[in-house]
Amino acid sequence: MTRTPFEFPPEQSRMREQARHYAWRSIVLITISGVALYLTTGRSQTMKTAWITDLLSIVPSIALLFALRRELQPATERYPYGHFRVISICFLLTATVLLSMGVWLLGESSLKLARQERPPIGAMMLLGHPVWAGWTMIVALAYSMFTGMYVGRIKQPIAAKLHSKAIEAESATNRNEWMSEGAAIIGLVLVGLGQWWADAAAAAVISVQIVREGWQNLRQVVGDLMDEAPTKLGTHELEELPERVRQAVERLDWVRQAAVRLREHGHLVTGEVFVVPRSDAGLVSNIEASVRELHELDWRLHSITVMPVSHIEPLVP
Amino acid sequence: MPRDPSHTLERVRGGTLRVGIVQNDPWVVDRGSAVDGIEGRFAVDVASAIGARIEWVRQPEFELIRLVHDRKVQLVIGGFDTKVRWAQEVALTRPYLERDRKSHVLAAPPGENAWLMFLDQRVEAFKDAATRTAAELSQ
Repeated sequence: MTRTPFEFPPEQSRMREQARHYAWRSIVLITISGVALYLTTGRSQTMKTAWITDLLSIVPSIALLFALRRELQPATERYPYGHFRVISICFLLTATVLLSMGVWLLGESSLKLARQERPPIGAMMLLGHPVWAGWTMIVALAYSMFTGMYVGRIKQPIAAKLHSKAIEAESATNRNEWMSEGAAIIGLVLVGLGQWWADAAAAAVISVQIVREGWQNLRQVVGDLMDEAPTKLGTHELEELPERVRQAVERLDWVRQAAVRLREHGHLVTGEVFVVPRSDAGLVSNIEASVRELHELDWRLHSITVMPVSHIEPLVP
Repeated sequence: MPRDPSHTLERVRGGTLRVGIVQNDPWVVDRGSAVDGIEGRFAVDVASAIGARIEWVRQPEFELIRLVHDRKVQLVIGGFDTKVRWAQEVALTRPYLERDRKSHVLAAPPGENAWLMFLDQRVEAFKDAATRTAAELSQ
């Protein structure tokens, strides 16, 4: 019963395909803008931070592609619960990369500020004319900003329909890029106006943003790995799903009382339902029928165990 | 845009341009009262473009790099290329000559971007003359 391979409903299946498609699109578009940033970087700490941030923002897309490929692999003897949690592992990796890069870049820019290192930004040749390199940097940043906002926006509705924290986080990473690039543009304009400290200061602001993002992702994945109850997308609020399941079970006429314990398992929700039956007659077939019904209740419910008990102790004291 | 945080370009214009020199034939040839060589001529050309009087500063290379980093001299010449160890301590101009797989550059104070921009523009204008001179010398 628990070994039945999971299949996404048709709509969600389509959304997954779309998510895969958008992840590829993000990787291509962001790589282009990352290269544009890299080519214009020079000695500016802000630009260095901006292109690293830009390239880091494709890591969640890569992780998602990997997870989408792995999570539907059937359960094996070694992994009897399937591979749904591969998405959490990808998340953990992403969060760690973001955190460590953020801390490193923050250290570097703080050091530059402390040592009062001034960024030299001179001319670059554009169609045979010397142009201040700051302008080309700003153009590359603006381009990268729009790329980030575009790929972030298109993924938002998919995250909602799939109730996918991974896609939501991927989309949020892209959407938050505008803050980094905005800070970088302001920094460069200030450098142009003769405020040398603005370069390292803008880089520090961007680094803090990366650290914050890494921290949020880490918190979320730690929640997942700690079997946190299902939470609403993009918030820390608990979902009503466990309560809905409990009510559905208690409506069954053979059930006297029920208690429910659910956790998020990658894109799915798994857990146990404890029931106090009114009688032992037909118990096995009643339980099997209830499991089927629960899987109808919400597409995310999977591998739910229904356990008959004589009395229910509160799960949370 | 850009402007200098410490107003280098404004100060040298019509004033004194302090140029650090490292003797290095044919780039910098110190003749005592005057300084010749490919980069020596470039410095003279820059000074006349902004109506500045040149003060040549003769010091060991490491001292000159320290001075230009601290904006005590505004330009250091010595036949440097982009691979110099102290590249991060100064602002290097755009290369004015590619020769023997080396990109020849000049050193300016870091962060004085109006001044650097001005030098870069002069470097672009100087490229042809530098290439010609270098070709004549190698014959």
